[in-house]
Amino acid sequence: MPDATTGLWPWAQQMLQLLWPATVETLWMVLPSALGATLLGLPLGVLLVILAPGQVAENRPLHQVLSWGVNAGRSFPFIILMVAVIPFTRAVVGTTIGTAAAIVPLTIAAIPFVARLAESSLLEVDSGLVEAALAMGATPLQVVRKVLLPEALPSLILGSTLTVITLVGYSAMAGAIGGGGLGDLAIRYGYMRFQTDVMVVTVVVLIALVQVLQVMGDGLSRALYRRRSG
Amino acid sequence: MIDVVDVKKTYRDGQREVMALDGVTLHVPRGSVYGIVGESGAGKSTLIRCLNLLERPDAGSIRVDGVELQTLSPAGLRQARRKIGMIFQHFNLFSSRTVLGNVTFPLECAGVPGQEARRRAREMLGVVGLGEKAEVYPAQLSGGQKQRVGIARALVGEPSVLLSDEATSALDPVNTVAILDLLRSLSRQMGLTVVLITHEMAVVKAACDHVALLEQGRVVEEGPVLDLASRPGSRLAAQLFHRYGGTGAGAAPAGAGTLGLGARRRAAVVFVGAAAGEPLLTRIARRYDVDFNILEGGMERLGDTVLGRLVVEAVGEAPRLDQALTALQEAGCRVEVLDVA
Ligand SMILES: Nc1ncnc2c1ncn2[C@@H]1O[C@H](COP(=O)(O)OP(=O)(O)OP(=O)(O)O)[C@@H](O)[C@H]1O
Ligand SMILES: [Mg+2]
Repeated sequence: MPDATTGLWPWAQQMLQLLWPATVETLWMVLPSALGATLLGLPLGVLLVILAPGQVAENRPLHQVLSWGVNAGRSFPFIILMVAVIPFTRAVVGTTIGTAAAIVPLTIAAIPFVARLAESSLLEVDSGLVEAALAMGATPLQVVRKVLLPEALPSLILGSTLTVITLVGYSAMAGAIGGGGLGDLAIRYGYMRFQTDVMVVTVVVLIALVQVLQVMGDGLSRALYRRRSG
Repeated sequence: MIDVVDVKKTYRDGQREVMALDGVTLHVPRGSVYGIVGESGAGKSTLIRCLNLLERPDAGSIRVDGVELQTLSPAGLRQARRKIGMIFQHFNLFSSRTVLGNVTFPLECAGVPGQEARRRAREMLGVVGLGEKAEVYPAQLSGGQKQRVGIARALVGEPSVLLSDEATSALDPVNTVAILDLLRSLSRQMGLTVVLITHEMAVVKAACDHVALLEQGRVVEEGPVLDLASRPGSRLAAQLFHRYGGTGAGAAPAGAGTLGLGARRRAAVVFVGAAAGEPLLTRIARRYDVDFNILEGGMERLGDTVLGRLVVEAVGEAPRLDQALTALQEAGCRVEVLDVA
């Protein structure tokens, strides 16, 4: 807390010095993980949709296997996953501690999450549109690229927003393997050193970050909807 | 153009089995506008979806332009589908694409270069009267305009067949007429064969030259619309001309003919086209010295054809009567003698 000897301004400067790098670390963990999880999870979500019975690339056994795998991935507790993937992390980034190392488990944890979100977005697309495309001689790949993905885009963006925000939460746990970030800061200063002010300010920054991300995602999605509905 | 032979399709829905198509055989002549009518659940949608293999039948053959669709490879089927346009009750336009983007879609799928695709799409939008709306999104259009986009999209690849599943059912009467007129004129201009599903007889009257009645997955009646008008006991005719068509041989007012002595013939007479406009009955009555007592009748417009359908009682000397009826036939009418006295 600011007091007579330190003053408000020095206090604020001190907070900024703590919080700014932590915020950057959080974003540096979250955004690449979200990107990586989308690159891998979105195709998985597409497969979950098109391999399902009655869909353009129907394949029941493969669909079952994928669906089971995604469920297994989602039910894996993140803290255990982080430890379990340590050998893989070392192979990919060369180290198992630090911000870059946290990206690996975060990405892996978010893949099945992204896949299910994408699946539900894609399932919202009117099956009549897929049918119309097939009737016009579209290939299954064209159905995915020209119909399913563009039609579901506003909903997919909302899903990505949710993914990023969920990853902000997960990234706090990544502090456990030296990932740094806002969550780590709150634990180290607020919980372990009893600097309640650091913890409070960190939580406020986290709330603000989540709000900003949500507003950006909603705005982008709504702008797309609006363009389509005129 | 389209030959459907003994097509069967059963849906399995858990324990229940629904025989949606139970041996359908149809021949759709090239260049015709072929209506398929029937009650809800009769199998109309299932049948039309078999014509581009959106639905695979369990048995039977489906030939379009001489090609058996079921033997085609996936790539071959896509090729064939590009020559079979389809329009839908709820339009099924892509909300993520502009009107122009919707119409270029089939061309993009076929690998037509972007500029060429856009040029052809604009041309087609002009044909359906939506040249101004190329850059807007479908959500900004009225129902009738959306279906015009649907038609442009279905026809931009210059198909030889157009399938229409209840394409006017979501439209108001004014737009229904406009869309049907558009379909008729396009089919004539492009030499298109149209298969049109509907549950409204008014649509058949306005647009079709052939019609089939589907009931519980079977074709129970079929033929050129103009022939049905004079077909005795025709259920399609009864529905098409319900105002007076329900009258079979037994339903005439008893003792209606009170025109003195001589023989009587009660006959259904159908005038087609030009014959309907002439004072033909009077002329023949004078020439053969017989009297025509009109029991019921009316005029219909079937597409571009005017059709008159009368039930008459002819009274006079027997040989003259038969001559008069023959003369009516020679003048281009269809005559069916209902009873003789
Ligand atoms: N995918 C499906 N699964 C199970 N049953 C189906 C399926 N599609 C159609 N049916 C059944 O097949 C029968 C024929 O359906 P179809 O949709 O062809 O009828 P329709 O003549 O087009 O009716 P409507 O005028 O209501 O559109 C109905 O009994 C329907 O319930
Ligand atoms: Mg139907």
